[in-house]
Amino acid sequence: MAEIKELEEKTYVEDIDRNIYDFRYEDKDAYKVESGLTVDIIDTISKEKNDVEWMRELRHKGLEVYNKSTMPEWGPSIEGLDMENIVTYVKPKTDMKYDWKDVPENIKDTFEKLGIPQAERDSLAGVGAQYDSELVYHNVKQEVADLGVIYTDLESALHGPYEQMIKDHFMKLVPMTDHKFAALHAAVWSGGSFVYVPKGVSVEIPLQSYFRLNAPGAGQFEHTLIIVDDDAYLHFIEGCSAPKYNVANLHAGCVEIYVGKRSTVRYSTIENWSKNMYNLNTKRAKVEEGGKIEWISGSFGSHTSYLYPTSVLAGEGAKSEFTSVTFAGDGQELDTGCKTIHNAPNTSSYINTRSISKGNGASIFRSAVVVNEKATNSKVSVSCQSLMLDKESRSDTIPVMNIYNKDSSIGHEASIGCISDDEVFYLMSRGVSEDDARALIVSGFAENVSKELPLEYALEMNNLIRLEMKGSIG
Amino acid sequence: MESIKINRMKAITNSWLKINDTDMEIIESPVVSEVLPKLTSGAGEGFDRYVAARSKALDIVVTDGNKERKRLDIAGGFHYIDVKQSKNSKLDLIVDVKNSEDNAYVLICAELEDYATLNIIKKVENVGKAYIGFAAKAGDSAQIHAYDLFMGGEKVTYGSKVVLEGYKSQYDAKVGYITCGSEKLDLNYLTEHYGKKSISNLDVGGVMKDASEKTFRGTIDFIRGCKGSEAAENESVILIDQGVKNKSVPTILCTEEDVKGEHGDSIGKIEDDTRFYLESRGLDEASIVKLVSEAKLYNVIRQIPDDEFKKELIKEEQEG
Repeated sequence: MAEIKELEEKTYVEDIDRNIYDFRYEDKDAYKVESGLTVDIIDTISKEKNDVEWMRELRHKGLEVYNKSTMPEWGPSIEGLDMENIVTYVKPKTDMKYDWKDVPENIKDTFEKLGIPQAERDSLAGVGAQYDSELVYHNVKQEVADLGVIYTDLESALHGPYEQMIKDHFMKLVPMTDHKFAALHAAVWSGGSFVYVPKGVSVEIPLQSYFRLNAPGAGQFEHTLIIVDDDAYLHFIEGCSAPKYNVANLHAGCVEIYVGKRSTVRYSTIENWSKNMYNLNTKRAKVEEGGKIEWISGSFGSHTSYLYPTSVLAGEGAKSEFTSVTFAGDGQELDTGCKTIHNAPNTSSYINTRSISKGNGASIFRSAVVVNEKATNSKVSVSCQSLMLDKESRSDTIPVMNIYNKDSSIGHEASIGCISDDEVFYLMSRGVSEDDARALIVSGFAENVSKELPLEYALEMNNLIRLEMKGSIG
Repeated sequence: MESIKINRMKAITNSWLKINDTDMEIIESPVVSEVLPKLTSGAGEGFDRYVAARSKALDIVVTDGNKERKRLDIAGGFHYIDVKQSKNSKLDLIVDVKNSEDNAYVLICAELEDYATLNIIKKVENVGKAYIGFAAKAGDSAQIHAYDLFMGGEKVTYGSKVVLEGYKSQYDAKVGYITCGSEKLDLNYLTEHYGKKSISNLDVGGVMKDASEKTFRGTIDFIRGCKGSEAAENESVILIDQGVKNKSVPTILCTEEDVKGEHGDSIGKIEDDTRFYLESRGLDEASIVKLVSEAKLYNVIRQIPDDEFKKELIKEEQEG
């Protein structure tokens, strides 16, 4: 794990301390395409990836759709993102390795600082590490591979026995016509992992992918495709970070998860991109009969985020749980939330989110629950609580519920406010100092979410939040 | 058919959800006035200008310390009602839009000075298409109590925007509705808190039957500086038949930390316990639905402060 700094207790709430992530290496030997988005650039990427023909055609189609699509009008401004200045493909000077000691020194050092190799040794079944546009390391423990679990980089899988499986699923759950940045992803995607868990297999120890974007002015467009067959279990952890630059970076990755009958997939994310990052990621899961998807999400980074993991409950009895915490500090506008589409009877979804905003940060919770005609006897519970730590911040809650059958039960609640003086007074009357009282309240506010985060991977994140929040506010 | 967008949400969201606004039919009608409304209703500026230009404004002025009661019965056409209340005045205003096949376009603007009180009861029943906008601004300690009943119309839209500008200004609205057949009801309630310690409360309850459609947008906006303000919003919808389409988006926008805001929404069928209780009392399905529907309306009617109109409504319900 990254070395946890001893942080002094403070008397004011600072932003999340990103110093441990804000280091960078100048990779002079990296191969880069030109900035911008043209047919030639798409062809160059496709050639670099040695794409099969259908993938090359998909990329071209993606560019076509991208050029015809419009920018979203409903969310935070992304005027600062100029695609003409974004380099969509940066290849470090190394191939993918299966042993950390073979990874080039500077890249290995990067991941050592982030604690990834240590985490793999301690508590993970497999790791994929992506540096700029390519995976530099991928490995899965033998005992997991022996169960028939496939965890490999997506490009290898495309050129192997899984090509047809990938073709049947790739960008079917997130079609490129979904929105402009899904189309962009289709055109320039690179890196990412393919996971297949066979029937009846329970992967007890998590698999993890970590994404590091090192190059300034670059984009990362990894694609994660997870197929979990019936009666199986998988916990997948995703982490990301980047050093801060004065130019914009872009993350427009895509995650597609297929959850088989009676299977459970837990997808945990700790997002800590730097404050120059535009995070326009798309994640979607389709859940079959009796299956369950659990989204655990911690969003702490980025300059601007559009992030709404979506669950499509396609089979009878399918379930979705979404638990998240979002912390928007100075200069951040984090528009996050989730969507659940109920398409079958007896489905249920549970959404529980916390958001904290401070400085001139803005935290926007945006959700959509759609219960279609066939989704009779479905149940939905949405709870969103927002805490504003000072008068400069902003917090919005925009939950939509479109209900198209009479037999379902939907409940929603949300609240917004600041730390209660009564609660502080109560604690102080019990001998707790004012600073400690406020810190305790804020920690408690996020606790029911932070305890769901994967501690074996995000331990330093939880500690950072707890320690940074410890102290008086305002 | 020409139309414009009205009832637009203050903070819009994904367009595929088809909830950001709705359409209003524009009909040919001569412009009779150049008066521009000073306030903007929840239906939007486009609606306000369109209606005001085609209406002969009805001015209602209530002077310092005085009390008035006004009832307006509207059946189609264009209507612009401009209310000005001086300090410490009180107005009971009833706007009854009913029994009309012609489109009704109604704009009500109310400006309340300090300590003024407005009780405004709006009922829409048995209409073809009715488009209504309400705009209000409240001064220090001014109070607006609204009672809104939507009881049938081919297409009914209502856009309310209340600006709580003054210190300790208050707004509370009780809303009841029943939709049936292929009726469409579109509601947009926006409350903007500017004044310190301003308070608002919106309580919406309704029943949907057959293949009716309803959209409810409820936005609470705490503007920086409104310290100590509180707002609550609650919607409860009972869905009776399989063909109904319900859309709800209760929204809170906030740029002020020292506030308390909450909203809740519950959508679903008649509770099993409620149904069992009523069945055990010998009620059949139709009677249960009728009882539950009436309850949603009575929840508003019983709180109406105008006894005369309240009795009239109760009588109509009992006879209906």
